[in-house]
Amino acid sequence: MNEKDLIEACKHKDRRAQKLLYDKYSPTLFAISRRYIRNREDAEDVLLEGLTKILTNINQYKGSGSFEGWMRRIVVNEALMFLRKQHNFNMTVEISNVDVKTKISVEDELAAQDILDLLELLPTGYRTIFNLYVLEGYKHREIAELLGISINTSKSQLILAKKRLQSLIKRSKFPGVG
Amino acid sequence: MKKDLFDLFRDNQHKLHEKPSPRVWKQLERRLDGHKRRNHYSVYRTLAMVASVLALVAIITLLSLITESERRDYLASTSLIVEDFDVLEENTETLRVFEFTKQQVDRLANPIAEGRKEKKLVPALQWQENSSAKSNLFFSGYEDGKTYTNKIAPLKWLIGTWTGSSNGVMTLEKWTLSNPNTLLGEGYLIQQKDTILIEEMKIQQVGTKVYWSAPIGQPDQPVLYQLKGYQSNKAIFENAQIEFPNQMVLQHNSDDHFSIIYQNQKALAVSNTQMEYLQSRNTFIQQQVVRNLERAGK
Repeated sequence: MNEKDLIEACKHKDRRAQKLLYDKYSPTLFAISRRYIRNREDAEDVLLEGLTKILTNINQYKGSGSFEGWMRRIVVNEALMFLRKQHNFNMTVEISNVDVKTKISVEDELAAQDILDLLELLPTGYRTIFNLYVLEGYKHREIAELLGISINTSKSQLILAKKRLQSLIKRSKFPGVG
Repeated sequence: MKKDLFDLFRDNQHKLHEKPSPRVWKQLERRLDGHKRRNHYSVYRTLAMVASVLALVAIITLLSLITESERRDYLASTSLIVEDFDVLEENTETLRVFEFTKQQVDRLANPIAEGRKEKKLVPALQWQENSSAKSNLFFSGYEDGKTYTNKIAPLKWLIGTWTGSSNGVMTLEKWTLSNPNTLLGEGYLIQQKDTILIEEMKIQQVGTKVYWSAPIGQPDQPVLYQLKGYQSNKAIFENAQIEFPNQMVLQHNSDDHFSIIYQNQKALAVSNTQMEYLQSRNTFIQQQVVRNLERAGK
């Protein structure tokens, strides 16, 4: 079934189509949830909420943008809602004049597990902003609005996250990364 | 050629796939079944509602048709005595109702009254100073010929009597509007039968600026903090010259609760490496001095 037919069938609540959608996309969507939420079970709960919203609101997808992008945004929002309950993003201090330059050799590769392990080692604030900026592609203005922080906080937290990742990579000597 | 760390993550992102455990699909299915059933029922409920409304309409129509035909028959069968009606006296009650109704109709037709010439409505001001902060709209009130707009108005919720406790001692705080530009606060401690005035606080507008003043450690020389802006339910006052606290936050938690928080806006001379260490396995809670108050009598 192609994507268009799959979406159509899901709009008609075809269980077989819903299962196909789940099989096809849940690994990617789960990986997104895992990037934000350290605890696996919590990440699965967030995925469940996201998938429920996706399948019950699929009629709202009008086909104007990427379907996967639409689903990803829903899962990211669920992850943020979960995190906001436990973490006060506003309790971060603005640090000015933080400048970090990193260059890594082009042969470097990061295994998927490396990415997750590195992200897991970051504090929640750093990790969330890193995810939103680097991997979701949000701008600092959008991140500031989503998390209820200032644009400067978003920028400085990102720079600090980068610094931390650099030192973690160096310390842990990830294979292929030097 | 060197790559940026961010690119390293972005380029390898596609490798991130992880199958969730089977319970996720099981729970999802259950939810989808529940949703289907709810929708199913709601269709029946809607149909039932529509059917009953139609039935009601049918009954009313039938009844009115019956009474209409009965009336016609009655009229045809009897001869009516037509009376001369006297000219009605002016019914003042009816007139009043009529006038009121006319006013309502006029008001609906012309919803915006101009008001008096000397009082103008001014559009809501948007706080611009800290553009990265969530902007907060507040009404500037009326212009009354002066060059500045009243900025004390958004804080008038403070007016009243508040209580709280500090280190086991009851505290009382009374706020009044001593003039349109000044909110005056009196802070008391209650010890057994004594109510002792401890401090006088002010929120005062001078020109276009608003200041919080409190005698921080010096009763004769209150320290002034300037209002920098609003963030959600907080009014933030600052004085960068003070080592600690350089910020005062007036937080309006609800109609009956507010907090005064003295803190430092930026950490005291902590280097980046120190900050990184501090944040690595710890939760960063800013050094704060807090007073929580609730409305007296609640």
